[in-house]
Amino acid sequence: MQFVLTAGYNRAPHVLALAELLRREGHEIGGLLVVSALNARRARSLVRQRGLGFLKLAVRRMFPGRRPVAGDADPILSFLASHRIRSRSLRRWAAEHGVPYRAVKNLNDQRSVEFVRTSRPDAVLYGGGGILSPQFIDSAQGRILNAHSGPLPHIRGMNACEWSVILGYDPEVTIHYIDRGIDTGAVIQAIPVHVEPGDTIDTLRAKCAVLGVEGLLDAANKFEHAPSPRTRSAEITPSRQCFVIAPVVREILDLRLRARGEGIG
Amino acid sequence: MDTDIRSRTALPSVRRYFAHLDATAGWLQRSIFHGRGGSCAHFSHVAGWSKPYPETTGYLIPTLLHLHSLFPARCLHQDALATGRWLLSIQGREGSWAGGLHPPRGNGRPSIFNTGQILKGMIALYNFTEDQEWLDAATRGAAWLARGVGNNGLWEGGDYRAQDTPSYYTHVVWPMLEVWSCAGDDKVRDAAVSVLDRIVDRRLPNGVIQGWGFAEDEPAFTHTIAYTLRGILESARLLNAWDRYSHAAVPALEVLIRRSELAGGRLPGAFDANWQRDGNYVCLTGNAQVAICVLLMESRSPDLRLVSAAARMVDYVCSTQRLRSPVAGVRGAVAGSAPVWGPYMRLRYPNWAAKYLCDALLRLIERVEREAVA
Repeated sequence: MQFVLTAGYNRAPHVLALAELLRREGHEIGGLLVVSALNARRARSLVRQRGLGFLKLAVRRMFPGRRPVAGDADPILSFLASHRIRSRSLRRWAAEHGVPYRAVKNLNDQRSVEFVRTSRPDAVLYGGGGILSPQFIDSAQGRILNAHSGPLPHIRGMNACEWSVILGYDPEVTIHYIDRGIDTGAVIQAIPVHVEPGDTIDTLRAKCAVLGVEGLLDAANKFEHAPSPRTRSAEITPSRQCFVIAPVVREILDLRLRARGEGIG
Repeated sequence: MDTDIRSRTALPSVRRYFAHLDATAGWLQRSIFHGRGGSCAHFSHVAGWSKPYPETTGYLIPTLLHLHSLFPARCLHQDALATGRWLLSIQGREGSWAGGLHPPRGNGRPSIFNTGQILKGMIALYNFTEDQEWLDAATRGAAWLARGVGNNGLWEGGDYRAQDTPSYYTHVVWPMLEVWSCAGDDKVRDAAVSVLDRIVDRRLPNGVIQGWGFAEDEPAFTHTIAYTLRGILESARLLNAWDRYSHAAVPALEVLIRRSELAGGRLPGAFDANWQRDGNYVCLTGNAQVAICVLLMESRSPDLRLVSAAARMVDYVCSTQRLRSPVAGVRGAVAGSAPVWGPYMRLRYPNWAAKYLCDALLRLIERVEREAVA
């Protein structure tokens, strides 16, 4: 099968892991569409939505400063190391394996849409890059898979891992199709996230990233037998969309998580 | 800040909110100190403290009394009582209060909107002291408002717009119903409901309520949008008719929530009838007032996503505040617009923006503390 992958930045470890594991499974990577981080408009929009703290996180993501090692405290880095994935940049990985690499300002620009249309992949595997336009979705004929860090249809939108805990749902990673709504596409698979004593929201998010890679890989392997994309929003009334969690609500979440961890122990 | 307040919560954000409340309460006290009986309408770098504003002094009273319970050392109840007595001294014989700042030019024209807002102060003082004089003043004011409602179910004449009743006069309906709930005068209730029914009928399919701005054909500030929505929701609560009236306010609130969330808690300062933003500024009092409406809606259908949305709006307003400034009129103040040169109350710090930030913080603190101990 042939897949096109998207990424929100060049050093996205989960997309690196997914691309390499797909290659090892014998799939063809038709291309990588990577949103350029050096984009003032995007940076401004992200800071507006997520606050200045997001800049710090973005810099840490782009310049991790160390190589992944097995048993790393960060599950996604540990995952990379345990699979002996040494590359740290999608650009370099693509060059090594002769995969087309496109750095774009926006996944919805004409260049990205044309790239997907002409590549004619079996599916696009979404690894980040912002909300997709109807044109982009149509260019892939609706066959775009996403790993969402929350149980669908209950928790749609941003900070899904946080919201699932605070709203009393068991954390889950949901593999689903992207349609024109926000996380309203058909669900392919739901993968539970195990909460352990001492887990924080950051460790849970990292666990979700690993489960997302495994879930997308599994969905790609079984894609021939996957259900067809259909519009979920017509069947189920979507739940209230989640947005970036306010600091005070995040503090309540930390209290809940601590209580939950103590309960588990 | 009182030590017991600092230690009462484990949430760092709530401690931060208390710091903002404390600073804002201090600014409100300074506005009363300079207000010659009432609270100054605003402070500006150019003109300093303005004359007192009876309308906003009136609805400041419940806020002062609420703050008093958290900061007893500030003796804010004394300010509430003193400003209340000042308002009694300037009440018209027929029960109304004049519009504009005090003293008014000429004899002062009785104002529907200002009278309505002052009723909130009278009722709050009655509930606080159980002294009949406050209820008597409120009853006379409400009766004057009820007498002004014409055969078409609306007020004849107005304050800023002569021909028809602006939709944000739901913010007059609400205090009339507060008086009715205390004094039981059904004429007041009937008049209030007739106005409310007509305004609710103005809702467009996109959730906009026609006539909710200061001028009919211009974009409406979030300040008057929130007045309209709050008036509807509070009236629905008082009439025990949430299902009947809330549908008029909830669709607009949903739009505002989404717009705010996508912009990190910053609502555009004004919207036209198609929800197009007007300019690139935030009307800070509107931001805080919408947060209050969201929390009010959330009180009927609890959902922490709504609390988070309200918190982000409030956080944005707090982020524009200067808690330390050598200029006393700026320290703890809330500007009209962000940036301060934006078109709403340009270069001024209105007392109602400070009031609504306090109200929003008080509601938010109460809600998140309840959640934190749950």
